[in-house]
Amino acid sequence: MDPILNLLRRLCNPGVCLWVAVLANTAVSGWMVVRLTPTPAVEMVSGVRFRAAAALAGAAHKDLASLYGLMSGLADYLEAGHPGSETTIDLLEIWARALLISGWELEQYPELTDLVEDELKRRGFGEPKKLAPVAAELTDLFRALAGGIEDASE
Amino acid sequence: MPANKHFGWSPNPEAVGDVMSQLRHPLLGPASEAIKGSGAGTKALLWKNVEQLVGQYPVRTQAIGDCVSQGAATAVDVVKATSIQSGGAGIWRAETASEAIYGLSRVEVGQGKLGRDDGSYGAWGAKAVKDYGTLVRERYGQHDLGVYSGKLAREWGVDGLPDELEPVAHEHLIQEISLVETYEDVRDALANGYAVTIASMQGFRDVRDDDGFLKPSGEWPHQMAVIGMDDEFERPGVLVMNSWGSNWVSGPTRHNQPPGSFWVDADVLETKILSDEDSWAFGDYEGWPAKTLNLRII
Repeated sequence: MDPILNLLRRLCNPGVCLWVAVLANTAVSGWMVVRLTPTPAVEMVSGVRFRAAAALAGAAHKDLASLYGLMSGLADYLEAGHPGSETTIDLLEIWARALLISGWELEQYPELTDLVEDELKRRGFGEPKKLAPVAAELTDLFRALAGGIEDASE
Repeated sequence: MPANKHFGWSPNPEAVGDVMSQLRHPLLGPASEAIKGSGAGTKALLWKNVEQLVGQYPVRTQAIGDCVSQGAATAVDVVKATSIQSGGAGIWRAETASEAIYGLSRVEVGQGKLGRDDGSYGAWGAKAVKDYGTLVRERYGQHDLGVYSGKLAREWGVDGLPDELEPVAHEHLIQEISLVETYEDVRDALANGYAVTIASMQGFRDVRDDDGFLKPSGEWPHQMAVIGMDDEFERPGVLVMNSWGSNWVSGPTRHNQPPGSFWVDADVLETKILSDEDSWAFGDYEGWPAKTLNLRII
């Protein structure tokens, strides 16, 4: 069997895609956190982005790098069609595995945890949903959170 | 059992006790630790899941005293639609046919004890959908269930569901039923995508107040279904779907509720309806697991 095809298939195994996205983003995020291009003055900064940055004020750079990798990795995974995740329940299961692999412990920054929970609840994600119709909305949310993490590192 | 075409229920503690004695989880309260309190301060507008699948909400109009099967079928629809909209298995084919539930409740569960009189009990309807299953509004061979027929309901209420349809119905069971006793039971069940049938002697007026609620009044020996709840609002309560068509009630509405429905205050629900002890939660999973997600994810 074609080894490249094999590798692609393995990468599209449920969960593996998200791990790859998270780990790849975590690997480069240390560089990104210290080398972020300044946000253009004309860009509208979303409330979520602003509050994420505020929640992480004073956070260690190592943690910001990990968080950036996690959030942007999740957004990338959603944008790539979220292979292996049909519902938000599936997504949370895969996310939990990704957190385990990355070594991130929950609630290290309680204000950020509250913010993410509030934003997800406010958008109606307290109940399980099919993922496809809401993937773009979730992608935007996690991109905004990643943006806030970038801002906190400046 | 006295029944006219608007009603069809009467209290029968013996029938309720008999059904409860056969259940692993006879009462929702003790069986639902996983969901306890989960509905506090929230709302669950579950009828919208049905609307998303079929468009306009399918309002039922009973033609005989088969309110028990109308309420049960409404609850089944809400549980199925909510499960499907949440990504669960199964596809929506059509609304649930009340005639099958009516026949199964009276003949299979009730062993024909009610003879030719109309009517059934909440417990019998609940046990029918759990143990014998459901059919939907489509044609099954020579049996056309596409449009509700009071005449067919009455026939099946005496003769039972035709034998050839029993295996088909059995493929579509409600997985769990438990008696509900408090507003909190109902609130938490709805918050997790479960629906509730309510049966009691409590009647209501026919003009909703400014908040969409009906004031209790008179006697209705009747079963209906709870298809939504709002514990966020200053008047906590539930949305009740009746089976008398769209025009029997008028007045203000909230949350774009379906025609023919009305809100009931939490205390009225608990003290005047659930106290008659024949109201049942319907679930699509065994054991009332939580279906609200933990979103503390980072």
